[in-house]
Amino acid sequence: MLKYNHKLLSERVTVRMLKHLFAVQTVILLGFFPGSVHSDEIDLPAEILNLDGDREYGEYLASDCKTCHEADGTGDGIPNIHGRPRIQLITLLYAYREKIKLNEVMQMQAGRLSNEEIVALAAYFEGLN
Amino acid sequence: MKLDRRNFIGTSAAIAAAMAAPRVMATGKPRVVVVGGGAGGATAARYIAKDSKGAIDVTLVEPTRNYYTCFFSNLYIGGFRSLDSIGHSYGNLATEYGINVVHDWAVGIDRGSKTVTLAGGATLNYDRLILSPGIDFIDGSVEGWSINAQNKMPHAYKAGSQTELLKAQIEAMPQGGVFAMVAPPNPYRCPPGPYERISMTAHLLKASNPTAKIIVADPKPKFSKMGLFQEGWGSHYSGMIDWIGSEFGGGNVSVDPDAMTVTIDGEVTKVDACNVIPAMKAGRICEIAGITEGNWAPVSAHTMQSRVDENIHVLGDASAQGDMPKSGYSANSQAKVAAMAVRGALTGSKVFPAKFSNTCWSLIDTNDGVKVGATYEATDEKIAKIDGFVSKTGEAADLRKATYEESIGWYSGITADMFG
Ligand SMILES: Cc1cc2nc3c(=O)[nH]c(=O)nc-3n(C[C@H](O)[C@H](O)[C@H](O)COP(=O)(O)OP(=O)(O)OC[C@H]3O[C@@H](n4cnc5c(N)ncnc54)[C@H](O)[C@@H]3O)c2cc1C
Repeated sequence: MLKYNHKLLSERVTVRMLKHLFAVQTVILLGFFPGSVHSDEIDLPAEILNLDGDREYGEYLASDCKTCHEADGTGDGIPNIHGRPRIQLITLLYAYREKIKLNEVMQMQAGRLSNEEIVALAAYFEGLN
Repeated sequence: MKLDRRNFIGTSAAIAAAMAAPRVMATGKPRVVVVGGGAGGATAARYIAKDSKGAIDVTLVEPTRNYYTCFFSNLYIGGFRSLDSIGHSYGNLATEYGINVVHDWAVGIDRGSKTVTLAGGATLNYDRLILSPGIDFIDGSVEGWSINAQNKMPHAYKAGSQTELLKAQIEAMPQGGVFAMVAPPNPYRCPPGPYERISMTAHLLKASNPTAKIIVADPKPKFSKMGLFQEGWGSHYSGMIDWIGSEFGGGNVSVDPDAMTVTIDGEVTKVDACNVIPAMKAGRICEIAGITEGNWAPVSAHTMQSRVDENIHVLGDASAQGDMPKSGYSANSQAKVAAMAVRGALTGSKVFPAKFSNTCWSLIDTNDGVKVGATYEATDEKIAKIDGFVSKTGEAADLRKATYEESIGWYSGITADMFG
């Protein structure tokens, strides 16, 4: 069972599977994190979702995230991402990388991640409680 | 005395031998000594101990029992944080991570025999040595000031009692009094630090001493986040701050700590409190180790290994690495790359390509936070910047508030990442 703090429980993730048959999934991004977005909907390429995350690589990449995202923090100011479902993290990192979701630090951090790296990070963080 | 484990067993009582026995069985364990328990050293020690799961023997040498972070020390001056809230002990690193924390100064390094000598007389052997001693000041860089004058004109650029003293002196200023800062030349730790300090000093004075004046003598023509700070000084502290850059003689400065005067480009001003931030160089232990070139210790960007000695890694402010600013965030980022390289070399664990990042948040006034950040990669020549951002002038108040709140989250995150 994944554990959430009360803030995360209220968040909704809806993945409309195969809404578009041309291998694009639409993920609705609502109330994921504080901060604004350009759009509530993003198209997440299926190729990202089909990748297997290398958790060992993810652990190394994650050391960069842990400077700010604390394992047992309150999530004040900077959200706790430990133990979050992989699909949420993939969506968020993708949205930051593509500058759909706003936050300069996160856009910069995600800006240098490949699809493989995004999935590696998501796989690693999902596995933490 | 040589406090090497074999001698220790050989010369100590049976009970000590029994207690140390498990360690002795593991004499084959590679040894890492980390000098300096700050942003770079504490992070490196923790990551090596945590990720090697006991396969590496880690000793951390740090003289202070309580490390006060320079980051957020300006917020203490402004009244946004207590001093206690920026102090951290090494208890978790010892008990949770099994790090041997030794509260002492490293005073000698013999690169041939791979040993570190401590002020208390002990000698530590290492397979890899990590130096993260932060900065020391360059003697004579501000005419009239020496380290002996640090109580009259504090630098407060190593946090703790110096910061406390500076705040007390600002609070004791007479109504309408003058506060002066002598800002440092590049490169120095925390490029926005002096200007965040000016903002926090102005915040403090605005409430208790609104007719006070602030003068900054700066040897530079411009500084980090200058447009953002100047915009904020204009809107929050109008008429209070006089910044004198190098074009206006700000670099031509001397002080007289006994007379409490500051002379800028020939003009003598009587001051009530004065913060002198001298020019900086790598912590002295780097010079003692013979690994500096000029004022800093050059390193390889891939591993943070000294260009002079591959058994030594230098982190944080003391290193000359390329494009990263000297910040706590940078030191923490570099420490993780070094920790991975050290584990790879000593235990054969997997080594990935180095990646670095940095963000420096600054507070200008209540809920008015700004930030500057960048990502970096390792090239053969240096740590090279890839991409970056800086907050913009004229941003909405709610964004500035969110930026400040983010900095609080960062502080809590990075200190947990350093001290466990
Ligand atoms: C006012 C101010 C504000 C700042 N704000 C920020 C900020 O908001 N964000 C940010 O990222 N950075 C900030 N910084 C910069 C940050 O504090 C430094 O860049 C960071 O601490 C560097 O880490 P370090 O490991 O190199 O050195 P330090 O953190 O200074 O650690 C060095 C340690 O080594 C120990 N030491 C030194 N010599 C020896 C020896 N011979 N033997 C044993 N131990 C030794 C010292 O006691 C010290 O604890 C600020 C700095 C200042 C002054």
